[in-house]
Amino acid sequence: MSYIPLANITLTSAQSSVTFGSIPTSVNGVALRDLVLVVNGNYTTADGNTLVRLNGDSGSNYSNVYMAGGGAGAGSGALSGVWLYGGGMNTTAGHSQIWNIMDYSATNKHKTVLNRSNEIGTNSAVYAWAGRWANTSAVTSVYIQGSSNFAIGSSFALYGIAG
Amino acid sequence: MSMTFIQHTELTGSQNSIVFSSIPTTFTDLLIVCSLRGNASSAYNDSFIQINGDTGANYSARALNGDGSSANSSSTSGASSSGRIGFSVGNNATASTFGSMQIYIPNYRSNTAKSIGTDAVTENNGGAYMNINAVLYSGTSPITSVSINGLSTDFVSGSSATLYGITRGSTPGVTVS
Repeated sequence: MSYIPLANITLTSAQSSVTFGSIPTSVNGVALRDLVLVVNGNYTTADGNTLVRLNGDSGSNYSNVYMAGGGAGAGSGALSGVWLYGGGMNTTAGHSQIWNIMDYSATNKHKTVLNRSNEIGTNSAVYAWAGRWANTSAVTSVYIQGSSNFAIGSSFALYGIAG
Repeated sequence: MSMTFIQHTELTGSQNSIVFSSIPTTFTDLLIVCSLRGNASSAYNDSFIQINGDTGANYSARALNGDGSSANSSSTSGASSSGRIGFSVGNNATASTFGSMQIYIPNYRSNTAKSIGTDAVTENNGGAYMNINAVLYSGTSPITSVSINGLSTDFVSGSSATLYGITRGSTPGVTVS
């Protein structure tokens, strides 16, 4: 499996969102099949989920299902609406998330997304989310937003997986 | 290619731990892929991670487990000498079966606490177990060694672990802001 680095940013000031744009479907003649987004950081204030939109689509075109374990119990549920959901972050350092966007360059299928999140601190839990974007367009941009600002030092790295 | 093979270890006898040391500082993230079987007298065998040889109470963990009929969650907080990273199979499991596990450590060279995510699965000829785990190592030194261990049990011959380095970067034309 070949990870091809596409773009990355480490925040030098707090900001509410990060956007990756002009995502190609191939690099140097090598076709890309999946996207992997690695997030490592924390929020400046409130605890809460991390949210994603694809291609700037703010319509009600997203559906999600999750399972979570907070130590005392396990839970599962579903959400639909205008976001893809990931697990939580809080204000203490040391949270990580990996987002997998499957077959993102295909133009004949809805896009499925997996999120694995690791939150230790306030409201600690381990999460797995699965989402669907009801659109057949190739993914060209990924917008990720926090429940509050992402703190200084938070990092975001996007990779393409050749296939 | 940003995913680089660093080292592979396969045990030829029982051993309590698999240790990667003198980890190069040329990558941004670490990925460890494990195939583990322990000698615990049960179908399952807990596995743990220890960073930089640190045996202090610097590890917290949350786990979500599923066995095909129910799900549960467990935790350890701040009082552990190593972080629980999930199950491998134990000595009572079907012969020749090994648990599979993937461990991802972003920003392993940072000077902040380290977030470690693991996904693990075992299959025991009809009985299966899967778990996902979040570990926080509160040490702030860059990671130079990683130990995968069975705590009070050993891993048996054939258990293996492979360490990869991931390097972030950029491709011309792709934007981020």
